[in-house]
Amino acid sequence: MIEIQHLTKKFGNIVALNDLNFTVKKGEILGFLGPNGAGKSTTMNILTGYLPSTSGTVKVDGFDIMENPKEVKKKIGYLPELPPVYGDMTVGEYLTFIANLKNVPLKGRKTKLDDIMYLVKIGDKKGRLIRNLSKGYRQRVGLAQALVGNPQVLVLDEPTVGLDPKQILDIRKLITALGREHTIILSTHILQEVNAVCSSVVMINNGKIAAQGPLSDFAAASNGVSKYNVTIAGDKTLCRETLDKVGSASRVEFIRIDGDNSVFRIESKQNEDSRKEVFRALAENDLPILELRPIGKNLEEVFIEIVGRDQSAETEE
Amino acid sequence: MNTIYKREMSSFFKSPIAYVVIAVYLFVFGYFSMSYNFAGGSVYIGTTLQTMTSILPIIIPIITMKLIADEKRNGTEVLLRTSPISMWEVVLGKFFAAYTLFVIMNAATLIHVFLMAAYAPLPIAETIGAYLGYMLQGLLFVAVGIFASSLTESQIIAAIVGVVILFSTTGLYSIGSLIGGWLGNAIMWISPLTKYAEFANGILNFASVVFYVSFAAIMLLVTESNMERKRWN
Repeated sequence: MIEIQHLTKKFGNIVALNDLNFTVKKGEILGFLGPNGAGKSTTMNILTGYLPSTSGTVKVDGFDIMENPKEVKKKIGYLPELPPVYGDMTVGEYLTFIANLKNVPLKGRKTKLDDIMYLVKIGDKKGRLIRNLSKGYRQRVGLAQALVGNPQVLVLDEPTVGLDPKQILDIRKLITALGREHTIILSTHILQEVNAVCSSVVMINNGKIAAQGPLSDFAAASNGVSKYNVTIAGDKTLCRETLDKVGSASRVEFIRIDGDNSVFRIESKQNEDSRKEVFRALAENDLPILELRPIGKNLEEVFIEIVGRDQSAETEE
Repeated sequence: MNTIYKREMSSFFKSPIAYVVIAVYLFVFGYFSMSYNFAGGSVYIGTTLQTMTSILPIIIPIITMKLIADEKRNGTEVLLRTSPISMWEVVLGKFFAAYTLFVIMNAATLIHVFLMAAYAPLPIAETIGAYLGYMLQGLLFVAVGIFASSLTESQIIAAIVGVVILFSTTGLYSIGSLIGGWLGNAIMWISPLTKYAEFANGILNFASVVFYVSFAAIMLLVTESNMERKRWN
């Protein structure tokens, strides 16, 4: 659906994006991750036709953004970092204005706009001036704007910024629901968000792709069953003997004595989950487990590791 | 274009600025009309309009200052650029909206003309010519105002730039007449005021019509390409 090839963007001498390549398949929700200033917004601005690229191609549904900007723009709903709303319009007026901008046919327009307002839960604010709405509501009006005209592709630049926790969950649910019929690119630096809604991930740092792949690739490192610490109420040697008999554990390592308890680190064999066996073995010997804590990497750690690695590599240069 | 036009029109009348500008304009117009036409006993509305030309460089930029500058400051420029409409539609929509406001302002001044007509026979050609020339001149002034608005994010700077450009073009008339000779004539030829004087005398000079329309078109062209260029930097 979206193909980005060798995308480079320079602002004067500053290279904002350096040879970006990735594709987004139809119906995919892509999480676009990166620290501040990594080039997320720049990429999105190019993708939506706001900025021209220095070199490289961006194709949406086969149309090139440089050659057929109008066709591409028709297919994309964009929520920029700052919701592009007019303070002097009411929510209803604004969405009608957007519908006009996007040439939404008059027939059935009212129901469509009402549906969108219902979806993002701003129906009760229809007659309010946008100027008087809170940040969270403005954000939702911005999201509503992106949905007008039912575009196939949604590009959302940090859609949950400024929302309260309940609203964040609502918007995530909404994005997941929209993902069934739309192709979505979602930029964020909130990693739980990616875990919650995305099917694949592109991480960028300093204008370059640092890592990319389906979420499951990242999740494999993050499910934490391969490595965990276990705190047992019992004597060190007894625990050791019991744990050594666990067949699915590849390595058992004593960490420390914690009062009357012993702490061990256990690594499972490849593709096996040793936790159940460990539980049974310890229970048989009347050694209660007080705590079992996975120490696998989560997305956050992968992210920080990648970002950190790139930065240290750069200082070495 | 129509979408942008409608939005700008409703935006004008939602903010107090349009009303204040119209009120001030009509007050000043009334003052001059009073002294020239009613107290002064002249049937030529052109004299009043010509005097109004010297305050237009302030009035017009106040109308046009926000048109493009505000889109940038608001972050709504992104919206316009990522929507399936061209920059031309945006520029023209805004231009016609501001010009409509100018027309509305001046339609209200026709009251003075009707009042005069009730007491004295009016010189029809001169009156129509004066208004026609004035409206054509407005075309150019509004286009300059929009151009100024496209240069910056700040409404205030846009207004100041507009005022400066407009005052210096109208000022060319005085400068030209001071210098005299062929150079003076050349400078005066560029000034919109020179063209206006012909209209006020009831002379419909096609060259003057072309002058106003083409200069307005050039200003809009520069505005549009300026906005496109900004995108590339």
